[in-house]
Amino acid sequence: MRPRAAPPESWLLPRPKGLYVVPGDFYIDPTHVVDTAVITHGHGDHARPGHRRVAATAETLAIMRVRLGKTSKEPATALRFGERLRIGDVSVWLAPAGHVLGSAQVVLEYGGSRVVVSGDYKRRADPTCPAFEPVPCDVFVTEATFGLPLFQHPDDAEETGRLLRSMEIFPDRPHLVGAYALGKAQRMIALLRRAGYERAIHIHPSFAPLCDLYQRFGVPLGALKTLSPEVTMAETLGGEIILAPPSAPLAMPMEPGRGPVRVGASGWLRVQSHSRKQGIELPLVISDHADWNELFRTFEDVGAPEIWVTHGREDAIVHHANSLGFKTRALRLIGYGGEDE
Amino acid sequence: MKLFAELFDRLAHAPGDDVRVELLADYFRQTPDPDRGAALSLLLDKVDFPRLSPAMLRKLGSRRLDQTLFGMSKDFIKDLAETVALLWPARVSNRIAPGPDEVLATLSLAPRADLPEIIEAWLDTIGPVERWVLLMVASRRLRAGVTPDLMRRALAAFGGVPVTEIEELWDALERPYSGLFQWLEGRGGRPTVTGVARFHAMMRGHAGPPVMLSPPDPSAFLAEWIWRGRRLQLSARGGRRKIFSEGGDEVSADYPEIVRAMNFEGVLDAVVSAAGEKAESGLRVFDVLVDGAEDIRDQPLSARRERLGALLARIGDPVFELSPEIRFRGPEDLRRLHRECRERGAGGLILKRRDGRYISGPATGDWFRWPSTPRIAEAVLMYMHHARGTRTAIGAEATFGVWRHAADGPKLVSVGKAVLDGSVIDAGRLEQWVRDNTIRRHGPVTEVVPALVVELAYHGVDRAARRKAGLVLADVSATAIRWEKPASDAVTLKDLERLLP
Repeated sequence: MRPRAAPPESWLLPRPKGLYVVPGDFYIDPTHVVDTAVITHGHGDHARPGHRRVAATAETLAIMRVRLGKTSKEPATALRFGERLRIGDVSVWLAPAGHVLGSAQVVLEYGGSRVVVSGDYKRRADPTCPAFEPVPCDVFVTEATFGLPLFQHPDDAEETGRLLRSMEIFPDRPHLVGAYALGKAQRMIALLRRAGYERAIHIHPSFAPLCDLYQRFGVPLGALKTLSPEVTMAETLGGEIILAPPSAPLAMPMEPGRGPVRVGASGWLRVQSHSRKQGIELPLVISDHADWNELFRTFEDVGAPEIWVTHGREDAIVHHANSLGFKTRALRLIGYGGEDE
Repeated sequence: MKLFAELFDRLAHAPGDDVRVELLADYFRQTPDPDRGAALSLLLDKVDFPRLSPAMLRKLGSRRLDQTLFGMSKDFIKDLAETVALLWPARVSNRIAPGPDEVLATLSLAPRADLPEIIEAWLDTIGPVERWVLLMVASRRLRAGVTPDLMRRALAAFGGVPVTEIEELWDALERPYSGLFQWLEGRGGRPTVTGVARFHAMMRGHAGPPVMLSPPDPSAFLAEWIWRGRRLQLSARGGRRKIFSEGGDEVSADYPEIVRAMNFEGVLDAVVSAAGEKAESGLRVFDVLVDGAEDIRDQPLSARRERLGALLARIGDPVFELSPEIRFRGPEDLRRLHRECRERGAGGLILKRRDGRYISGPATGDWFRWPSTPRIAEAVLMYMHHARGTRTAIGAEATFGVWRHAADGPKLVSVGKAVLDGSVIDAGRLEQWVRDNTIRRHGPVTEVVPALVVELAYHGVDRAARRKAGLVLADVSATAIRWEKPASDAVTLKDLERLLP
């Protein structure tokens, strides 16, 4: 056991604006405007506009530029994975989190201990971003979006197969996949490509900038067609796949049997009471977050004796992790969750 | 089980019957015998095995699951069977996952006490969605909006045959239905149904626009009242007596008195009036398909009516009342009769060609229905009965009430039910309203705050001695929601009592 000059709970603090690193005077994913921020990934609840200085991966910074106009008031610092940056007395570096393009875990080294703030993460292979890399640490700060044992995501290739199968059953109806613009949309496209679907995929106009960005960063998405708002889709898009935000109003006939098959793609759709509420006809359980088993596999992989839980359903995780001998702590950060699932 | 679980999951999310028909037809194409026949039985609950009780289910869950985690998950999921299915920590099993036929056959033979053990072994062989469907099967809660009618449509779509063909076979078919499926696939002959009292698909009337009536020659057309109630086929052949509903389901058990009175040989077409109100139940017979052993559907209506008159005279039981011919001289007469039909307790007029054969299936042009013009009443929404396995407004049956003035102030009394139809109801807004105004839930029934006024169209008012209101609206449909109206503006019971025949 290394001696710990400064235990992490003395220098990494949950504050109303987010997780605050005292010896570096910066925040991780602050929910309010701050001087210095390290951003784990580009989802709106983690990457807010208006900070003075920002550090993140080049991909995350590019995503912020597309979505927010600019990253920060002063020029941002782009970090490669593994590249060290000194902020105050803290040594900071990033490791892949496997959540969306550019997503990173923030590794903090100070006072003889190493803390990993994972941001949002998942463990299964995703063709659109590098896989999560476990970093051995003293404290692992985890999300808990799917922190109940009922969340055990199925194989995503199998779920994609269900969509393709549905297109055989309903060859004349379009399949309208509700997905969020960053991450899920591109992953669905990539999963379809991997399953051998080669036809052009129709995307909502709001998806085009981020799909372009993914392709610029070397994630092939194949042929995409941006919908024009004037298209009367029922006539032209029977038998096609359309990706759009879940709530996008689209000019489509909605009679059952003729209108589009509404497809959802989210970890929450595992539960009938959720999937039946939203008018979804084909719920696919595809998530960009770790499921219950992956959360605990990760705790073991990083070998951290101590687990801090930031946002999500922490009570079940704390209960179970304690029973497995981890020291756990619920930080109860607020303001996260929502955009991507 | 995998294909069946996927089918059930998709049925449970299907937005309408057309989609369900496609899903079922596709399943029948993908699934071999005898599994598809077992699936048909399971979806229609045409099964007979002991039910896995919630207590058994809870015990099953507690054998392998951490109680704290189970409780937290149950709070989130709400449903016990789904919680067990999603949390089940499967052990390695070298057994093969069961198909619908194995499940049905095993459960049908199993003593109730053995259920948990049998199901536990199965749960280890399958994935979470299949586990959920299996537990729903075992609990006899497999509800996916599949009615016998819908199933017959799906079978017809699967085989590319008219639905009447399925209806005629329906009652005589048994699990595993292999003969039926093979015939529908073109791999075998049509299953034969002989000897027993069997269903003959019913003749249906055109919705006759009044214009076709322009020269209604009484010598060519016979007029009758359209009787409100449930259409029945009474079949008494070779000592077997059966009563069928319009789609070919046997409903004999609903009408024991009629079955007892069926002292004849043949097949009759009739209507029984208002929903099981015994005192008032009248049976009006209007056609005969088989007289003795002779199928007379090819004979003209005039000849069938003569045979019917003679047959009913032979039976001589007042239970069987002949639906009388209405005399008329011309269009003026008909229009007058049409105006009068509500007072006579009829739902309209029907005109039938005297020389027409009895043709099963969709309207052929020989019978023309002229329903009465509906009346409008504004009533208050009291309860929603959600369709099987759903919480959506569309397809839900709603109970409506009107005000009865009593000494202690006005009270709502229910006067009828109607299924809510998406073409006239703003479903999203109504669902939100119901969520915000729920008083309590009893299973599929949601009681709401009596504050929402709905415009109803109805075709008459019938006496109903057993109801608090003493009457019930006939042939009700909800035509609009009056969001802005206060509930106190709804009609009173007195208004409706005046319309009793």
